Amino acid sequence: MRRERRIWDKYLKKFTSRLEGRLLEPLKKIIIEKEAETISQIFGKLETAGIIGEDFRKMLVDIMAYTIFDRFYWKLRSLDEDPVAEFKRFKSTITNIDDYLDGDLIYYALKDECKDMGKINRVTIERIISTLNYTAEIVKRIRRPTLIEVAKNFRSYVMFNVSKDMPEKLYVRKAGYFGLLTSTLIRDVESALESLRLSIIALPFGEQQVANNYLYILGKILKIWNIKVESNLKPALEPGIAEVLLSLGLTDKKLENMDYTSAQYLAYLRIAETLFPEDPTKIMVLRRVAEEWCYVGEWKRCGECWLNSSCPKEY
Amino acid sequence: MSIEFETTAAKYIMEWGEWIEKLQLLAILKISRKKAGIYLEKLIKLQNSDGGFPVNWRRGSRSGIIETAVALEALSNLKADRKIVLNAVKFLEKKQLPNGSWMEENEERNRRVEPTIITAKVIRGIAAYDKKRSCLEKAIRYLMDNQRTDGLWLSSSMKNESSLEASSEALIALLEVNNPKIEHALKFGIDALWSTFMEKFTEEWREPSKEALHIAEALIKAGYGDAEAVRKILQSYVKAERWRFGDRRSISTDEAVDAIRILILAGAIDAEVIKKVVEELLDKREKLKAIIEKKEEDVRNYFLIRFEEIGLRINDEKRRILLGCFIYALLDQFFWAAEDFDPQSEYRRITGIIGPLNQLENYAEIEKVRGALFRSRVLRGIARRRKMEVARSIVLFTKFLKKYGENGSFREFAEKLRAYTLFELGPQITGWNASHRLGLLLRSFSKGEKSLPKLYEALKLSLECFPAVGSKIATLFSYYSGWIFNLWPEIKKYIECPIDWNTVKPYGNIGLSCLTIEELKKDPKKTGNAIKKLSRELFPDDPAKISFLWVVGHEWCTKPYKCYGNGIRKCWLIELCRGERYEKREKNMG
Repeated sequence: MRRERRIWDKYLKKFTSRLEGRLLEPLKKIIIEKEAETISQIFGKLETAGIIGEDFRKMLVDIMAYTIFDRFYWKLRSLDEDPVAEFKRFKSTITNIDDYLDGDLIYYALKDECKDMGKINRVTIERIISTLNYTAEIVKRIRRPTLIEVAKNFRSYVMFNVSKDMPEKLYVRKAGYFGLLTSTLIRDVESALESLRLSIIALPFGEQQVANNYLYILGKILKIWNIKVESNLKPALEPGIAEVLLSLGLTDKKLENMDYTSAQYLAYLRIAETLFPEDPTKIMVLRRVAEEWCYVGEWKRCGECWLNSSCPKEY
Repeated sequence: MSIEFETTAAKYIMEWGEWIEKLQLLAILKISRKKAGIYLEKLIKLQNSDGGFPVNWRRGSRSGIIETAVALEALSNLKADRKIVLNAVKFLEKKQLPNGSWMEENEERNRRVEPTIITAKVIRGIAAYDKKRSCLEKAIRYLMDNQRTDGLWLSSSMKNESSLEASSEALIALLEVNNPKIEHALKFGIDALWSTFMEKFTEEWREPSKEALHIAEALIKAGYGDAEAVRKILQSYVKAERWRFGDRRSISTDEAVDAIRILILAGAIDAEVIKKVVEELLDKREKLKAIIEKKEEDVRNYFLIRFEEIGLRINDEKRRILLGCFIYALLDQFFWAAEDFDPQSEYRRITGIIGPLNQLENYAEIEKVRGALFRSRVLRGIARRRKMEVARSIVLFTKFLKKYGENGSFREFAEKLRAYTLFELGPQITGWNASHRLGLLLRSFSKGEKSLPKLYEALKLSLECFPAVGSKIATLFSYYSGWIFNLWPEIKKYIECPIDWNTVKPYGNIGLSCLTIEELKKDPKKTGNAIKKLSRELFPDDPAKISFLWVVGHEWCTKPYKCYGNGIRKCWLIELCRGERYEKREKNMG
């Protein structure tokens, strides 16, 4: 309770006043209007990346790789590199699930096939490789593509295999997520999604951004589970969205700590849940805004932006 | 130069330092082999069959070059057994490369420490034993061949720039050997180092650095000890704020060892004064050890009597003892939170309401336990949530005992408690800290850890996952059940004594700490690690014996009316305490 109050006091004063002054209604309207366009844009990207296919197991691993690449979106953009094109280069070597089990092959694909992904440091590359290895191992065990089955497989593998193999230092940093995963039993859709989210965060390269994007793509863009999961999905917080939130005057300061349990992420979650209680991931439209106009280069291109009319430009 | 803290610095190393640093200090001070016994024996026991000493001083690891060189220097200075020293020398000779240098086998290590530095350290180690060893000639040749045209040595083969650290290490090594053939190279190097030193001294070294200290050592050895710049560096180093011992900003113990060695070398501090203090400290520790050994049974009986007063006896059923110890340890958290709190009478009152300890079903009912805690007058000021958590903890532990409590061995108990915590208690856990501990416990489970020290850690982690149980209560429980009631003799070696002000005060009173009583009082927990280290050094097979200090603290030190007049004469520590405080008090009383 005290933490909740602190979050509202520290990050959401402006948001509260705008909400109470009903100044956010036009913004909400635009976001709702533009959501379909955003989804189709992401769908298009996935199609271009060659992810969408019939084999659900392969799709599960491919999407994990894609979300990991997406984690480096802004870095790649700053190097004038298209992340989707980079992912396609990676996919030219890694073609099936078994390839994801081969650490050397992934290393080669990242180092030699990709242009800029190979430049990231050795430790990060090692973590990416082991994350993809683990995901492939898990996915191979899944028999049916139901949410519960996927979540159960992820949970048990991460709890009993990943926890055993992870290097000591990294494990100590991630132990809290393993603990949360242990205490999250899979009973319904909500707990299954939470457990899946925690399982991904507990992986060596797992982060809030990777986990939430993964679930967003699976549950909302591709709808692979054929059930309504929107209200239980959580939007990913990443630097672009944090910048747009600041420009829109929704946060008092820029959200920089993207950890799943951080106060800043919780503040972001409160904004999304307050604006769109039935589907907080609608706020992912802001990512598109960041990509196109707000966070793309040295200058914001406000004149062309969807949100221009309702943005107070508080940057 | 007048320096007042030299003795505190030595105490600081002896209190907070690693055992090898303590041994290094004793070797610098040339303290007798007998007095350095504990550390010397530990070092000797570590020697591998190849004559080397293990990497990072971890038993069973492969031999490391630097560790062996450091050990050799200390062993030679302390005049250890010739055979042991010779084996270490032979190991180093065997590892010498054809070009005369030494390199670590581990590449990662080589990246951090350059061959020049490793070679220089080995030369110092071997020279401390025998300056005429044939391998030294080749090593000196290597250093001379690698001396640059500017008179200094390279920092790394990858970078093309001179390193002051490597250069000073190389020069110290060359000076140590004192060979007439190298006179020219030596002079050239020293002149280059001196000019660089003067340049940096005026431009960069506003803040004294560790690097400056190493260079100062080389220059002092080369005869520049009286130079104004060297003296100023030493003075500023000593006066820096980092000499606030025990503070987070304080210099590290290994740096303090280096500093003492160099300051002694410069004649800035009196080695004899430090030696006297360290010898006194060692004597005091030996005396403390003897007193604790003598009073071990008294300490155990002291606690057993307290437990008997609340109805727990050593012959009771195991489950009864375990539950009693758990409740008694849990109540400890109210000691400072509630006024007029007496754990014994509160325990009696609570168990009186719930029922006898062997009727476990009563303790498994949350309503009964909650009722007993909420009815207490003394606990009225405690938050409801806290009391509820304590009640839940008791119920959960009782449920565990009902299921698994009959097990005999510690191994079985700890393994089952770990599984119970993970799979039955786990889903009820909330909060980041408890989740973190649950995560650590999960790793212990998935790895299938079965060794006693690991299981002891798992036991503590499991208990810390219970509501309202922190590290202290988990330690208290294992101390009560494992050490006082001796339920599992096999884990005696791993049980720790809980540390609080009662333990810290006598520790400070008898002068074992470098901090004053006022400083210790500000944060008693800070000294916890030093006391744990001391207990492991004095009683490696039963470190919980140090709980003797707790009894003394509880009975005398923290009760001013007892630490006074006739009362003090009964104190178990009076022999050691006399020197420090007793005389002062006698003097004050006229």
